[in-house]
Amino acid sequence: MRLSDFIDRKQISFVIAGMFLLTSFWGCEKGNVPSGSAVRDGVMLTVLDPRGQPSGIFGRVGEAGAGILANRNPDTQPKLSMDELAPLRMAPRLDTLENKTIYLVDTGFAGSMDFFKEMQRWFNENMPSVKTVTILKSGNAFVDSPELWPELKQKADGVVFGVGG
Amino acid sequence: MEGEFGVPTAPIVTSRFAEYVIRDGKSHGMNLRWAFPPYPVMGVDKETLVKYINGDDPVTGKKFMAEVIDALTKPLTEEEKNPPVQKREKRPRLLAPDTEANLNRMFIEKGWTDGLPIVLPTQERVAEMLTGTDHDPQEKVGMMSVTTHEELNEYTVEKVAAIAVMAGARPEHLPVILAIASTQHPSIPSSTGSYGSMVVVNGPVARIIGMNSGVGALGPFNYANSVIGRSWTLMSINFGDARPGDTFMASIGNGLSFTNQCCAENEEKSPWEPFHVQKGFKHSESTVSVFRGWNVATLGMGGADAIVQRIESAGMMGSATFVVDPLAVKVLKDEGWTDPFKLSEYVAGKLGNAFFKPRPEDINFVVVGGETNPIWQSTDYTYYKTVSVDKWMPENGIKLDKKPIRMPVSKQCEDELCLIGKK
Repeated sequence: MRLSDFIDRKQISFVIAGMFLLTSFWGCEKGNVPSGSAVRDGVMLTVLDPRGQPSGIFGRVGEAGAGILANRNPDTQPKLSMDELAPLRMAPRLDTLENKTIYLVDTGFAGSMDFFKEMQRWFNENMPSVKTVTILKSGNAFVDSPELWPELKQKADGVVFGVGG
Repeated sequence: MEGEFGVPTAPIVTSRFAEYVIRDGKSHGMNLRWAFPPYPVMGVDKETLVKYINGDDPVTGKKFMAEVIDALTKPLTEEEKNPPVQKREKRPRLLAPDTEANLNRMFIEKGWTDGLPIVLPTQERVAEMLTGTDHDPQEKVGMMSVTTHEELNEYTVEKVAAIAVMAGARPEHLPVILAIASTQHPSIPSSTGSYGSMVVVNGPVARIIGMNSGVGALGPFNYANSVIGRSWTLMSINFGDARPGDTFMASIGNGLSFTNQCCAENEEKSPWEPFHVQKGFKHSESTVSVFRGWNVATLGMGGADAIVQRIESAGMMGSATFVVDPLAVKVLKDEGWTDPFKLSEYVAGKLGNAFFKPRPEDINFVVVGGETNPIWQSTDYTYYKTVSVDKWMPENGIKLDKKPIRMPVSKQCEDELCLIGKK
């Protein structure tokens, strides 16, 4: 028996319409999945970690006299290995600031000297026995000032250093 | 001051940078006694500074000046006497398996992308990318950080290949991307001033991989330019550890950072020696040159004195790189500048003040453009270095796909139509 003898044209139309509707519903459900994910939904992928590995190497402050971009250049920026990193030994603290000399050291960031002038005014008004000295660090904010540190050791009881930002 | 000279010190940084300096200090074994005023300090009036000093530290909630005094006088704790150095753990080579949707979400949410869709670096895709070079996948390429003091991060050939996959590149692009990686320059160093970067490719490789040096070369019209430039940013994010507000402090950001002004030099149309030849390489060598600054300032036209005037009027901070259309180079050549370094000497000689005097090496010219008009773009970019691409190429040459992907290409100007430079 041939198919056409068994199913007339009307019945075939119903079958095609039914298949179309089913396909449409299936498509709607899949349409809720974010674009690009439907095909692989449920498939587990293994991908590489794109992040860099810790190297144990650190950047450090630029050499005295270096240009402002020197420590922005991997070829000229001084570096320090973790093996050379000794935990910082902090200096013994002062018993009191009374009658002490405190240097307010401007690192060179814009606005720092104005800030320290106001801090100096605060000391004068609130702790008049404290002698404060404002000073601008030599070089730019990113380089060493080797001549300054011995001077501070000789003249200062304590240092306020800033203002980074 | 603390360790070597024994002077008690109270460091001050605005509160915007508190997390940054605390974390950075601990990684160096430094338990400094910070005090954090509100921010900014630059550009504010006296009354505001007085409020900062009389007010509270917004990080700790304590009186700011009390913290400064405590920093200098409060006895050291045991931890301060023996601060530990915090070591970071090595990362695994592979991430835990997951679905494509979840991994895509994770890469975006962890900040490992530029916010645009990526291609996930599956093992298969990375293996295919690695066919673009003969180098050992585990060979170390370099180290990078977007900061100046934090721990640098190492990366291998395989890591660079993973980034290339993420950017949508093909193996043919890998040698150029590896060359950029080998400079160890992040394209987006952390600076409140928001850096922009540029990478210019010279030599035969540019033509082989279909880079654009002509019409719209610095625009979104070339597959190689785009994916190579994007790779540099994805490397900077992932190898340089750029995290906004944490390690990356660009206040406004820079729209050029997505693909970093990546193009080839238009050697074919330039009457000057190619840029890499000016820097000591052979014509036959392929190279990348990296530049960085803040501003793509303005469009301009004219000869040497117009260039001087533009640098002066734009207030550039000591360096300048001009992206010059070949037609504009022909104008300069007509003016007698057959050697761009002579032009750099002339321009540098006209500039400077009591505080700053640029060197000729600080003034650079790269020839890019499609000869639609004799124009140039001024930038305040500093030229940093030129490195070889050839080192990273496979022995059998660039690994091209059977049918390499190429975007539509504009025709170059025919010489008989361009009357400039026909003297």
